[in-house]
Amino acid sequence: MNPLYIIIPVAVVLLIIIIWFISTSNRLNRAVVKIDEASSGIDVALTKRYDVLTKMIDVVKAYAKHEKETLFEVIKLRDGMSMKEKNDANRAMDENMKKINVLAENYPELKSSENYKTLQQSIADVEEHLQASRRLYNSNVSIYNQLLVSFPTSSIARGKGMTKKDFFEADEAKKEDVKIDL
Amino acid sequence: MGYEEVERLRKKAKRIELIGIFISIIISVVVGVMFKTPIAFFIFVFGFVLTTIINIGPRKKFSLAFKNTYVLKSLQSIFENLDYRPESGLKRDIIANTKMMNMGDRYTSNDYIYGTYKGISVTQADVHIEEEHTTTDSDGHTQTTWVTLFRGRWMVFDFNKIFKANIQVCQKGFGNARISNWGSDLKYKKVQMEDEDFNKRFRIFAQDEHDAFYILTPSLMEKIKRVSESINGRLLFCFVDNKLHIGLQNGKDSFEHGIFKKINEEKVINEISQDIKLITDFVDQLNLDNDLFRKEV
Repeated sequence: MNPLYIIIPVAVVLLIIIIWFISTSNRLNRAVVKIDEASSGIDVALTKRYDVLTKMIDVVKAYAKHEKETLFEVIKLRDGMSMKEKNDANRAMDENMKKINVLAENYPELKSSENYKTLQQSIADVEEHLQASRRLYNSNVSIYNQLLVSFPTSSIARGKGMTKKDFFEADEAKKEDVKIDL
Repeated sequence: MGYEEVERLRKKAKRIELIGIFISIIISVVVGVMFKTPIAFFIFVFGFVLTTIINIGPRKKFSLAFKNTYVLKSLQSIFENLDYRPESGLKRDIIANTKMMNMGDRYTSNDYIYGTYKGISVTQADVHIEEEHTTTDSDGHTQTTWVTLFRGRWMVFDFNKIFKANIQVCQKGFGNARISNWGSDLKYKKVQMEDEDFNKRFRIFAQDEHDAFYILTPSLMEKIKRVSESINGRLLFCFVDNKLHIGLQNGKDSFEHGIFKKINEEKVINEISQDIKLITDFVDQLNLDNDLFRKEV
């Protein structure tokens, strides 16, 4: 029997396996890159939200000088934060936003000031961008995590030391379209 | 112009059409009976075509009178700063510049409407885009046919968010939509939204994924799905240069009234209102008048 009858099919099968391995590996790598890109989108949006929120707190403090009881959460943003840290920072910003809203209710002149109104519009847009970044990130994480549990892709992922990624959680209220009563 | 005058013009156009067809039938029957020749059929076709050509003017007069009387009045009651030109259309470049539609070889448009509704600037027109197809048979005879690529309405709205990248949302089955990366630094990518049902019904291409998620909020996706269910036709949404272009492929010419149908004012106004509602529904259902994100901050 001609040995080529064995060598050729084996070579074809090996080639198919190699092509599949490379394409699957690239697919996983692309998924990670997309997650990283989306994650930096969250960083940008969080920083913008932090900046606007800080300005808002300054404006609120200027109007509510006598409010001693309201303590705002201290938020520190830094490079290379984990998703959990980002979630915590975002939640702290949510808390500060709630406190700002409560104070604004007690100070009608603050609520009606042009500066405050502008910042409110600004925060609404920033939050909308943050929601977009969150959804894009979570969508990519969902695709990636699904790849990680699907056989045989999971075996390559395990070999590359890939593990499941955390989602960026959202405040339930924030999932709705932003509505502001000005 | 009142009801009587419009009806008079309709009846005149109808009369010309009926007389022309009647004469064509009589002549073709007489020729057919006397000479027993198939030419009789061609005489009928010739007579019919001749009648149609002769009647172009009276038909146009009636159509214009109808639109200037009934359509204009209805539009005035809904839009501010109205500019309605029944015989003009949307400039070809407005659609071509989106680079999201196959523009074919022949472009016609009429029923141009511009106005503001709830503070939103709205432009719309009936549009017909055709492509020339030439076939050559074995004897070398060439035949040219015109294939419709798009027939329906094209609408342009102010969009309530500011975005940098262009996005296309094309309902499956729309056909002839396209995207072009020519001359642009930003390249289109197919985007999968988190809403599986939306992905099944629409194809989404965006120059930037973030902007796609920024514009297509879960709430807007739901609204687009609802609108697409309630409309007879296929939709193309083009988010370009902070404007929303909507192409509705329904094969219809809106705001028209046939010459053989007597004008029933109540019915006519109701039909026109439905045609106008189709435009305003997009503003209402997609909440385009929510300008929270448009304000300069």
